[in-house]
Amino acid sequence: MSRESVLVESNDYLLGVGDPDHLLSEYADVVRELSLALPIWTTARTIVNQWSALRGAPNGSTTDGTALAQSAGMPVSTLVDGSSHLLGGSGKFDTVVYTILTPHSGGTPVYTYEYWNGLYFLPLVTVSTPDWSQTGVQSLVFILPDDVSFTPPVDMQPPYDDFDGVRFWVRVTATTAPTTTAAVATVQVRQHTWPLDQREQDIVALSYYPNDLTRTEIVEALDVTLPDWRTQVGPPRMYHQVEETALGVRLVPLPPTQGDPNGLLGFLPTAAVLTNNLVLCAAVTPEEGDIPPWLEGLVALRLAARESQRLGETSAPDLGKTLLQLTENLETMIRDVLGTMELR
Amino acid sequence: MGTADQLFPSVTAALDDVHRIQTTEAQVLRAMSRAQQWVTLRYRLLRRPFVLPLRAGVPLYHREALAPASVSLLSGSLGGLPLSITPLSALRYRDPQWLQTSGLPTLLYCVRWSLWGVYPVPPVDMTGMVSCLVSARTLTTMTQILEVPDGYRNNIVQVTIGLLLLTRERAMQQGLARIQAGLEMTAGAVRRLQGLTV
Repeated sequence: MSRESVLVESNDYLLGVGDPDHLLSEYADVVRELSLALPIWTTARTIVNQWSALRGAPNGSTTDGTALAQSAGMPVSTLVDGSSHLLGGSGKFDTVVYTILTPHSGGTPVYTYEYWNGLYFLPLVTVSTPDWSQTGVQSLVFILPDDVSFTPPVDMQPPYDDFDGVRFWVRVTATTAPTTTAAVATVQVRQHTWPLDQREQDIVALSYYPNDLTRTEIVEALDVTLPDWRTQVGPPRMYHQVEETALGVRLVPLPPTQGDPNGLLGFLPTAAVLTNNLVLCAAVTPEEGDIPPWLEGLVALRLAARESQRLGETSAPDLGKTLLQLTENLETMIRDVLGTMELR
Repeated sequence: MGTADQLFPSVTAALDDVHRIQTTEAQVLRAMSRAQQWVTLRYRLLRRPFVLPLRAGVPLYHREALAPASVSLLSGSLGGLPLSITPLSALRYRDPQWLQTSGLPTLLYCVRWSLWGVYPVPPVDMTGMVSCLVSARTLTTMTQILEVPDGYRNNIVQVTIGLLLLTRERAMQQGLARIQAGLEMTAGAVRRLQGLTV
């Protein structure tokens, strides 16, 4: 069976007058509709909990500074105007905590704070910026923009060939460099929200591996029970499904550490070390090959119902209503067959 | 168990189309194929065992890869001992490290329909068995043997006639009623089915 055979079956219901092109164009939408009515398709995958650091030259070339930023210490810029450092998170973040080892000195240094929106670096709306002339803990806090993009900046020359750069990037640039650059001992990027894929509709289970997380639906309740939940750092215990323009998952509290890079291999095929990465089981919209033959009949019925309810040659509202009723009957029957095991 | 073409006369007679003028053989076959699938699901008629190859350290498995024709998981065993089927929500409550806890698997669970899991996570490769409800295969020829017991032939005929009445004849309420009767979807459907014979 295939999409073509579903279209033929659908056209049987329409006495052969259904427009194949139109039926084809509706197919994906009907499958999505079916997956909402019968949310049985799921996927499991690892969401990487990691961040990267790059040191940037004014010409756009970069060197990988991740290891330096995470443990050994990293200069904030060079002594050249326009030099920078970039922080890229696999998740969204709005706070970066620097521990400054050596303050900058000399000159009249000026810094800009920007984020990558998929097309340009735009200025961040900052709540607080680090004082690079002081030692100790300094924070960059900003309002998370609506248009963040998990793509590599186009004018950035990656540090090595297989660098994919799929991160949310923030850039700190010394537009006017000091005569002695500041150096940080450590950087903490406080990631809190990770985007879901377009096909993922709902979270079935989520672990901050290896620990299962509890779903929390009501942010207002968190404000009462855990007033500092937005900034609290610690091993995550809960998650909140964020439903903005795209679905995402926010961890509470914010994870203090990154995931083990060995977890990047994936979850299902091999046993991998996944500690502190996220393992997501999510309900998804199925792809064409995921529709089993015993469900293709429902797709054909839904397609025919939709086609017969639109204006035009195939218009037959009564048929549409009856087909929809039959579809609902069959979906109830299938829910009963599957029972609670495969639906919850 | 008979073949699809043995039911053909009952269908065309009910449609008053014994000479197959209104309805082609291919259309009847498609409707009958669908009818057989729905009847096998409704009455849970077909069950099949599948091998469950478990891999060391892997808790989750794609159902499609292990048991492509399966509809619903019915039971499982490992080394001759039964695997209890448990809801994922209960397992998560019982052990927050359900994806990691290692040991000889004793539980089987579903992550909705697409994924199966075992708990505890096997420490070494091993092989189990599962039994699943399966759906009938798609009918492609009239001489294909039906997979349902003879006692359910009437159900297949009624659903096939219902689908064709609904669409070919635009006799929508009659068609829907036949399908509902064939699948015993509504109260009183059984009585109606008893009044409709092959």
